Amino acid sequence: MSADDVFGDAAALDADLMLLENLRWARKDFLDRVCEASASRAEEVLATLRLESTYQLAEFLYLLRARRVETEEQIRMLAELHNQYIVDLTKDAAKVTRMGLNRDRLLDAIFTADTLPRLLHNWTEQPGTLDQSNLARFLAVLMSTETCRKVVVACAAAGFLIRDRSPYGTMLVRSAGSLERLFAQSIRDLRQRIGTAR
Amino acid sequence: MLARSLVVLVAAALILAVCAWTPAASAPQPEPRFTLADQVIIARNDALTALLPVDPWGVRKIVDALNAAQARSAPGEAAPRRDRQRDVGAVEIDPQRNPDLAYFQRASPEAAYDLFQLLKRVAGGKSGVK
Repeated sequence: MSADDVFGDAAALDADLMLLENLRWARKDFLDRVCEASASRAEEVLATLRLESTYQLAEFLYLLRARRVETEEQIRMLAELHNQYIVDLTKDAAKVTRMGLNRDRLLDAIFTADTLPRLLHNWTEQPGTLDQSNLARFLAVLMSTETCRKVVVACAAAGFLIRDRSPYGTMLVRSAGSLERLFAQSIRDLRQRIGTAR
Repeated sequence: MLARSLVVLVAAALILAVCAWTPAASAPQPEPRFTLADQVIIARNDALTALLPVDPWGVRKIVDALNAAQARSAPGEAAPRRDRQRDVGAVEIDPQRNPDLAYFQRASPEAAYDLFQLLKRVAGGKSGVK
């Protein structure tokens, strides 16, 4: 079989191109909707909202909602799975390099005996609330702590996140709900467009 | 003042990283030349703009590295061994002020897929819709 055979079937190729067009449209449409819904029109905020990291934060919030991660037990399970994943990653140097990470960043991403109780406490007090540094831990393989902070600040300015300083001086973050709704609608529209195109 | 010092520090760290995987210059050289495309990259990255009057050849090396990185970033193409050894996560780069340098903190589809799988496991592998 020739390596070019995948280009031989015109009908299949048309369907492939249609899929690719829809995937591209969905990403563009999501960013357009996010910027349109932003409460801030500041160029710096809008530029950050258009970053890949903002898309990844939106996807994380969407998955928490769509997977119905709500209880203390579930967030504990997520933290434990996350810790195990990070530990496994530290033993896989090839994957760490492939993902553009380093060992220190991974070690900082582990929930410890100090940070895990804070994660559970905040979540129990107000479901969906995360310490900003704990949010960065969950997203550590996707973006740096500093990038996470900038995205969170921009999303707060846009009205997508609520940031409050805790009595202990840490920054608590929770979603206002609109960012994951925009993400959900984008995925729904994409699926329906693909279904209609068949 | 502090912010500017940090920018220069980041630029210096980048030079060290780039010098580690580019041949060292053996003799004094005239001022480097930059194409229009190079100048656009420099102008939109604060760290490069701050570094240009201090070390133009350092900026030349960084821009060359960026151009080379973009040229070989085709899907499925393996990076050179020395490139792989760079500790890309060690330097924090503000993607707003250094849009081209943010390449070194590229997103990983593999990481996004892994995170999706973790959340799927928390939900017991079932759809959240009931």
